[in-house]
Amino acid sequence: MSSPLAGLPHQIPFRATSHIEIVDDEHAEGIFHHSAADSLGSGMPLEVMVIEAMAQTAGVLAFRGSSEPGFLSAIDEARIDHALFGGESFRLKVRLVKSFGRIHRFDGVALDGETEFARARFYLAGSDDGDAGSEST
Amino acid sequence: MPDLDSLKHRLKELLIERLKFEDMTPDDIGDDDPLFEGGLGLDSIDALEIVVMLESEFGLKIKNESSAREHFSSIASLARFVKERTEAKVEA
Repeated sequence: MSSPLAGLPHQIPFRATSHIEIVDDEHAEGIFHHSAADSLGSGMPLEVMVIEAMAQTAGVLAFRGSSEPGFLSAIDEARIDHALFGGESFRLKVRLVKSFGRIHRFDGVALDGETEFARARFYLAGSDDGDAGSEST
Repeated sequence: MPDLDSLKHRLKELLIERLKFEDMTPDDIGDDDPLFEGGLGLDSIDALEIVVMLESEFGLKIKNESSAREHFSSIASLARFVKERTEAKVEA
């Protein structure tokens, strides 16, 4: 049985999550590890990779079983507590709030123990209508 | 259930709040203005937010995307849809 990570098209350095576990049809968890050597090379703050890691975790949940790719289409109400320090790790928890057609809305948090490092609402879009049910509550 | 005009006004307020239309008031949205193409310019993410809004504010679950899009065409059609579905729920 392959790891859920195998469902991600991303490769290092853009594979932001190092472990994914599907909890149920509406919840998934992941792990984000930050190394001091990480760099996006474009001046973009690395903290956004925590949000990307949430989206990748959610993407595996939303598009499992689909042969078509999905995309991160929007981020809203993102909050990040502080600049990343090398060696920090966060547990990612994402929840599917609603699917409508090919759009899926998720809420996600990144936790250091019980302390919240980041949270965001984000939307994933499938490339067709066949990747998920029409209703999720 | 409020009358149709009150419901239209409430829906405009909710859309402005949920979709974060800054500097817009309910008076800026015509009852029959298209909500999507050529009107307010809403997109598929906004449509999902309308679905979430209908569920949280009115307890209405939307299951069929194609029929929902027809009801989402304007504030007037959305209000009629909410009123009909809510009244049907009460009678059931």
